Amino acid sequence: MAISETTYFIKKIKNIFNKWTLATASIILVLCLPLLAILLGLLTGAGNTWDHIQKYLLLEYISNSIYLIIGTGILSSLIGISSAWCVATYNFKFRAYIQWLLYLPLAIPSYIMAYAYVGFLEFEGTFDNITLNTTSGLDIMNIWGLIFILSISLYPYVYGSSWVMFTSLGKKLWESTSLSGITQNKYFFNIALPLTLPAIFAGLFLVFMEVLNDYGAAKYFGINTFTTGIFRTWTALEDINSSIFLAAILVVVIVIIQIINRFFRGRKSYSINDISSNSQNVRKNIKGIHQLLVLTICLFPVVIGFIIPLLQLLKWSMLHISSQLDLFLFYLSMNSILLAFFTSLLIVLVALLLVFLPRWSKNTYMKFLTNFSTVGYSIPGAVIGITLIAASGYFVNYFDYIFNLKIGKYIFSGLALLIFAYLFRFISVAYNPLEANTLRINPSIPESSYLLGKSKFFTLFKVEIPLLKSSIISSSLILFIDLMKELPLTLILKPYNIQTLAIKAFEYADDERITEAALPSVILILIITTIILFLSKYSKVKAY
Amino acid sequence: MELELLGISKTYNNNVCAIKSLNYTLNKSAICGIVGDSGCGKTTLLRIIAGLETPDNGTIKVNNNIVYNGWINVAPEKRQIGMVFQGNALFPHMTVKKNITFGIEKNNLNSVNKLIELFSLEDKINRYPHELSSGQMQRVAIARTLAVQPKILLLDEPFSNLDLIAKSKLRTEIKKIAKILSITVFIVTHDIFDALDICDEIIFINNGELTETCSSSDVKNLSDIKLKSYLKNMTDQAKRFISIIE
Repeated sequence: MAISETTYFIKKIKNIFNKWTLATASIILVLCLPLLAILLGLLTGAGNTWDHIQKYLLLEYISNSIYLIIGTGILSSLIGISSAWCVATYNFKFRAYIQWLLYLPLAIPSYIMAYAYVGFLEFEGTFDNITLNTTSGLDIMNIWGLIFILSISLYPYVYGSSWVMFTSLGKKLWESTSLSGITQNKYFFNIALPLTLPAIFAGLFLVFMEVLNDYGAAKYFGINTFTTGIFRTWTALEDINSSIFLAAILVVVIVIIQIINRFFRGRKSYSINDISSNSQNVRKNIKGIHQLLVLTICLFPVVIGFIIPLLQLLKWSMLHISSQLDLFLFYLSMNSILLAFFTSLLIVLVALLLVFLPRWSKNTYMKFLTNFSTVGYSIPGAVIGITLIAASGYFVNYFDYIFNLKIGKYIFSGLALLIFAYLFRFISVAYNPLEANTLRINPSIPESSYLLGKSKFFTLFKVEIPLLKSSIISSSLILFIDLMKELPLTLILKPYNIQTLAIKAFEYADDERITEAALPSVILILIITTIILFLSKYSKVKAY
Repeated sequence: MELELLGISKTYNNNVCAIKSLNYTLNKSAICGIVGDSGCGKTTLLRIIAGLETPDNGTIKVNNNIVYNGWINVAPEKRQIGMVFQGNALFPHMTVKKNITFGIEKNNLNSVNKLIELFSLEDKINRYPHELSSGQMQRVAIARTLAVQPKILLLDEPFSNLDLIAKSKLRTEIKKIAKILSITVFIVTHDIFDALDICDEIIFINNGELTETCSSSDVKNLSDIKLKSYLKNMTDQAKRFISIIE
């Protein structure tokens, strides 16, 4: 009996630890290195300025971050949910265009939005001129102003997720409830909104993460948040240990937010039985004052979130176009595009491996461990950047001490560290949709290929990737947008000789040369807008 | 090609026992029907034979060569076993021709043309799976599996979702092709009449256990009382229908 049990155990181990398990474990281990470094920061403790931070700064970091999260959460939900409901429920003029225009504020990074609005509303600014100098300007460089900027910049996350859910609620649900005499208002608050809550929370979670990730806008407005605090502790106080300790605390807070999010979702079922295209919402035709009201609700976010800041930036761009429109600007644009393009390809490739290797290994633990390697999106770029600088410093010193090898110049002067940081932070942007869409492929399809004598890689390239084509393209484009806009990570980890549009815009603004920041910002916005409009067209093309 | 299953057991992670110590030998070029209720382990058994699932215990031999015994585990792509899945699993982004030729070398297209002819698919080769009827899709799936000349063919519920005429046509085609290619076939079905029509041998599975084995001509001598009463009931119903038609 004992022998047979031992044999059974050995056979089981042999089946679990195959080459795919080892490959998966290696990728997960590499991707989890920044996470391990952050958690080690908690264990090793803070540096010598920690007492000062704790006494004078920490409370401000915490309270400001909480105000920003709550304020931005409420305002972006109001804008996102109301516009999503109107677009999903009513038929009105230009609806087909407006449903995509509502995404456009995503094209403007929040720090650029902040520069534009300060210029627009300042004394003798554009708004003051329009109103014939009657306003004496409007000071928005305070926490309320930052909440406004972040909300109009980030509401598309809530809009996108709730619009998809409102649209897929289905006409049967509305018809069955309206037959029981329920009004549309009651239907919205008692049926549609509760069913859409998980999607709204998912969108809000992204908003929270972006608020915590924001560095450029908060620094420009002079609001001390956790992220600006982490930067300041590293640069001004020159205490990298306290900086990492702060970062580790922030990561713990994010984990708590995630747990709360899951707790609120609980065990309720939010699934909708019939989401086929022919069962989608039948939109109600509206006219007259009702149409005007709905148009106002939907166009207001586009005007304040895209058109006003873009016009302000265009106005400033005209001031410097003759001096700035040169080869250097072309070089900056190409740098940004190439860096974002190749990095997004690399991230999609690694995400595909992370989706398929655990499946091939048939090891359920690998699937579980993969979750840890995709938490990067929840961790602000500044946290990842500073942690990687510190961890790489230890790594370089270790190699120097043990092997007498000077590898510092290779690590810090090249792009490898920055690209690895992008990979860690953005892997989930590609992994989550690819994983979800892979689950929709009938497992018998790849299995048929195996039984026809084809290898796993052959099947991946000839069968599974073509079936995931639309998901791969849309993930790559979303990654491209994220990478083009990214600021804190690039700011910390970029080699000194590499410049991007986002960095140049930030540097001009940081030097109080705000009007000169406009042209690189406009080019950045135009590139991202093109991608968003392409995505909107592409998403209409049905997969097989 | 002879297939031997020796002491095959499979338990899933949630302690659900799918197959319990199953022993069975199928001779060369025979058609065997696996009959049982839904969830009794029929499909799991096919997947274990194909190598898509790993049994907890037991040995699988094909022509006296071990393909699985815990230490040896020949990969599905190397077992030379073909399987047609329930729901056919055609590649949706490929035409009928691309589906059928997927597994073969480019210089081996003659046999494919014969298969296309055998299954009367000549005028469908440039269509995509979603442009075919259920019966046509099932025939493409079988042709695709046979194109790579497997030694053993596994068919998982090949007649489900087919109307009576398509079902009857496919049964005749399977019988004919198994004879022409002298191939060993396993058919999983929950309908005993499908099995009686085309199988040489029928095995009955209940809760993962092989409860009965018999040849299709010998089915009236079954010892399982429940199965006997079910067969009697079905035969009475068939007789009633015949009397109505006549």
